[in-house]
Amino acid sequence: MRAATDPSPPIVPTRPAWPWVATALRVGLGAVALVAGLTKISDLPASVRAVRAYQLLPEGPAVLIGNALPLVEVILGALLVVGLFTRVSAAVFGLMLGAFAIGIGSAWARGLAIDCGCFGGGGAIDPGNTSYLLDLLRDVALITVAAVLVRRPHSRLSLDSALDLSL
Amino acid sequence: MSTPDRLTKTQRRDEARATALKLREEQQRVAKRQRTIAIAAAVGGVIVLAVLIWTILAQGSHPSTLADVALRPAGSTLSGGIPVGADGVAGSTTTPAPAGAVVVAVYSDYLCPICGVFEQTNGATLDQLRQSGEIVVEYHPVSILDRSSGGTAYSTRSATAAALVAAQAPEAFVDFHNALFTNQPAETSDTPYLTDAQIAEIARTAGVPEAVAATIESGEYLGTQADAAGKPLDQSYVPWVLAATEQASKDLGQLGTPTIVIDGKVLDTKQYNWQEPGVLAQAIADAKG
Repeated sequence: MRAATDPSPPIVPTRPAWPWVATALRVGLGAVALVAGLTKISDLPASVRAVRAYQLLPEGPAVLIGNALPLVEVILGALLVVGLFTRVSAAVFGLMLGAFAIGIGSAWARGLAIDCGCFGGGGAIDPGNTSYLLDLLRDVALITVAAVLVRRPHSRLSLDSALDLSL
Repeated sequence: MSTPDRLTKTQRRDEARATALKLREEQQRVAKRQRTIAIAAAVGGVIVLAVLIWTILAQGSHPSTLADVALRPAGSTLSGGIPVGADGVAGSTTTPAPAGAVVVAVYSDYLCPICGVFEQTNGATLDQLRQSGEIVVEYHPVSILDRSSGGTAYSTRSATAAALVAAQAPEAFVDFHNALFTNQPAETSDTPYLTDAQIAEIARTAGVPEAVAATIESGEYLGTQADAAGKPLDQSYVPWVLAATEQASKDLGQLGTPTIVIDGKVLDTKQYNWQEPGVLAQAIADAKG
């Protein structure tokens, strides 16, 4: 009786394994954000120096971003790991990764010899030790994961489902 | 085209039930949405507040400019350099540099292996040119490699010791600087780093008076910031090292070590590969024009 009158669209059958795949992607992406933040958070002056080394931002914003970024990464990482507001968290982190990719690509294009400072460190290094291509490939892979999670954020073992949030 | 009077009782009841069901589902959806928004607002608010407070605190504790640092080695520049002229005394003002002397600034971290190579290759050349009055060497000890010193903050400790020696035993500074490189620990995480006692021993060998070496050995040179009753942090040269490192990063943009700046111009290592003997002297001669 109900089936005949139910106006809501039919649920697209997803493969039952998908929510688990999404869980793996979510926790993986979150772990990367957490590690990236935690390696920087104990040495904020170094984080500021790493941002400055890109020579893209004026002094004020460079200091601001260098100080704030580690905490933002830790928070986004924690949200992704516990699966709270997965879609928004993945979208924000994805946008940040896009900005990082632009920075790395620009440093490469300008012929700078710097460490990306993605996981702590940063600053000028020997021109023979740069790893721009690898850094960019890693960024693109992570952006892809973030994009997948924005499209299909439902996953197992998430606070989103535990709290029954509408995504 | 359905007119109520044409429907049977059952049909009307079914329709009413369907409408009610639809309404209830819609209400549930709205309620769920409102609950999500409420949770999002609460969590988002806490996050924004946390980031805001964090950033304000971080901006506040960001290394101050050198001019604001209470304790600076006498004669050190506001760009964080310790100038040494012909008499070999750090920060000495008794022997002003002869007119036309080239200023060679060397930025180094005592843990940086290539800085050790630089000292090995060019230390003697710099000493010679400095003693003959052709150049003034500006030593810029910076601390950027603490993270690769196995949690012992060797970069900061060694640079602080150098600043202390520059301030309190300026005639022994150059020897101490060189000795720190001769006894340089490897930049890996599994080697034991030099203890304060070992740094003090290097200082003694370099001719630093016992009174100064003792403050290194006891760890006093790092100051304490723990209790209000104890010594404040500005009793040590740690704030100077942090501010000098920050200033170096601002001045150079990309702070890497070693960086050589000759008369204000960063040495282009592609043009002048200082790893080859004689090249640095050539670069200095070229700068003199």
